[in-house]
Amino acid sequence: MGADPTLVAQLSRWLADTDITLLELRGPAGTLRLVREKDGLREEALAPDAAASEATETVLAPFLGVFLVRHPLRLREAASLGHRLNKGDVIGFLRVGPTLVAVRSPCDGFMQDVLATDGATVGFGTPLFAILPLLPGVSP
Amino acid sequence: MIEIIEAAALATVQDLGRVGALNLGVGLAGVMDPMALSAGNILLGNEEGAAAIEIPLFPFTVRFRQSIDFTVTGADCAPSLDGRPVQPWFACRAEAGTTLTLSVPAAAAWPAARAYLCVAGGVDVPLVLGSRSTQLRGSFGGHLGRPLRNGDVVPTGVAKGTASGIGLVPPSLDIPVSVDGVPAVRVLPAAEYEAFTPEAHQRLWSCAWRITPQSDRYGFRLGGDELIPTAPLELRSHGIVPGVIQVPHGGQPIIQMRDAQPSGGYPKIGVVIEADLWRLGQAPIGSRIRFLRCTWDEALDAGAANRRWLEKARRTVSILADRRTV
Amino acid sequence: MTASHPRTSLLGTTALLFEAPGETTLATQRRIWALALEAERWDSVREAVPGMNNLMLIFADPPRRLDAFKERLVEVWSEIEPLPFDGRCIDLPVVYGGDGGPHMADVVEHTGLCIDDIIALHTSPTYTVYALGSHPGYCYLGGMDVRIATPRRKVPVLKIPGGAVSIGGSQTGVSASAGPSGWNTIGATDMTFFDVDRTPPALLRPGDSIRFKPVRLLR
Repeated sequence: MGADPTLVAQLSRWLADTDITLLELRGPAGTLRLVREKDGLREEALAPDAAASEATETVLAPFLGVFLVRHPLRLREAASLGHRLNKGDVIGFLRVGPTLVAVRSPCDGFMQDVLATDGATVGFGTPLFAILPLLPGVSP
Repeated sequence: MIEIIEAAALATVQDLGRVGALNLGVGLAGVMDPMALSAGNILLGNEEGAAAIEIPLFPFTVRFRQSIDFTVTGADCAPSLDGRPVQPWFACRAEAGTTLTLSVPAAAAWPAARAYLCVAGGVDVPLVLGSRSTQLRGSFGGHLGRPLRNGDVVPTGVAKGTASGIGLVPPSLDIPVSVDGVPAVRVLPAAEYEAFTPEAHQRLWSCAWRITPQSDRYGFRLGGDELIPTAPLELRSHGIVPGVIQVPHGGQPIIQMRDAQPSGGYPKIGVVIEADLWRLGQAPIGSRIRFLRCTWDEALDAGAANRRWLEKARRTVSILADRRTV
Repeated sequence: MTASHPRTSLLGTTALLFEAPGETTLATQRRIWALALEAERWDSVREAVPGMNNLMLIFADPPRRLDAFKERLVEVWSEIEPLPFDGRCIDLPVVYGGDGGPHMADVVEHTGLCIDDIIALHTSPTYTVYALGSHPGYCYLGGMDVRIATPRRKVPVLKIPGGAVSIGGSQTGVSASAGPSGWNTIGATDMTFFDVDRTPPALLRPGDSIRFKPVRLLR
């Protein structure tokens, strides 16, 4: 795979002391992911073509509404960047008048990016989140 | 059926209260936060006054004996179903045998004290004198006339509507009332208001009153400056209602709450308007509240604003719920 | 509180309190009962709840024009006739003193009377039920002899049992269920004043009356 084992070990130790759940190293030889699970760190090596062809899942707004990254009662985001997601997890909200519609993760994966502005009114189909799916066949 | 696995003290079955029995000496009882109860019932397609479980202390754990739609409104107590988080103020589906756990409310955008577990079809304890609310003094209504205990099995009714699968923004965030950044409730002066000193009047409206630990469903004892009448007052026993701010001899006010006795004789300096009792009912022990003087018309408008919020919630929930099922 | 004119005041937006002027009398109370029956028929009133020479009107829907409501109430009061008496009278057997009457000694001390005199004075009147309130089935009674009046206790008792016969100031009453009380308990009765499975649930209603019958004195 070509990644320096010493560097990986160092990064792993460093990662263990943080609340970062995903670290991705991309190089010409491929991609290495360090994924933090409940019971420790897991390495995931991807071949270059797999990494390149891998599609980011974009989550679109199902309604017209006000986009919220956190439940109105909560002080923290429903899913912060790098957050490990299960399919169906609530990752954001659309507010329509007094009602809230949950935006859910379409797949197992990681929160890669928030594409809309918290508090902004978004139309139907507006991209809200980019999710990095877990590779098929790789069970967490 | 809901099985109570772990009940901290004083969780009770409540609806909107027992009206029409005052002439029997029977007080109102009912939920401390009627907006949270109505909102929960709207999310589940229930009648607005269907009974629920009011939970003032945590942790609280139940097992659903059959598949059922539910929602947890009121305080955000980080509800989780078999360990997976569920959103507060959202209608959710529980499969038979799953366990719902509610934890001590964490810091939130709306600090609140009580959570409501509402279920599709409502909590189906028998109606007693027209209500399912627990009447603690006299021990009737609710579940066997007492707070819930571990091992209790509470019946649920037949769901009439369709649970929406969506959520509501708590009305405290939508229609807040505060003075100088402190949560406030609106107050109308009461019969003995003029019998208090000018200092007492000034203190009533300017003090950030602390909810002391001697506060419960019967009454909230407030900590703050003393309110002293110009002369001792002797009153004849008369009917009183939740929201009445009584001032006993020590000068520390007590606000009557839902389980308060329906008659009394202490001097009354003011009354929290009915439209704001839900705000007060959620004030955590140790938090502070301000009293905001209002006019009769403003008080009635506040009640109309609550009804408008519920009406809008009902309408929007039904529109969005329809779109989801298509 | 005495005044020459009736007084009305708000209990928030939930209710309006009407207070009759003058000393507390049965004659006034009979007019309060009549006013309650009348006001209960009004659309804006959900419940009319008599107290001691006063009346609480719970709003069905609080009227925007409050002054008109108050004026109507005061006007009706000025013309209303006392409700005819049709109550029934029940005898309550009471065991005075002992464990069921732990504060008899305080009443003795305050009044300077002996126990036999206190019991004689407490059992001689026929007490009229003026109103129900406080807790399910509890009756506010009129007619106690002021010679046995004893101030409320400085420290309330956290739980007195149902059936406790007690004196608070110039009033006497019987607890209908266990609960806290600041009154002086001088005796006990076995009567059940409230049972939700009974129709009506309360044993007594305004206009009924009570006589206390001493069955035993425990010294």
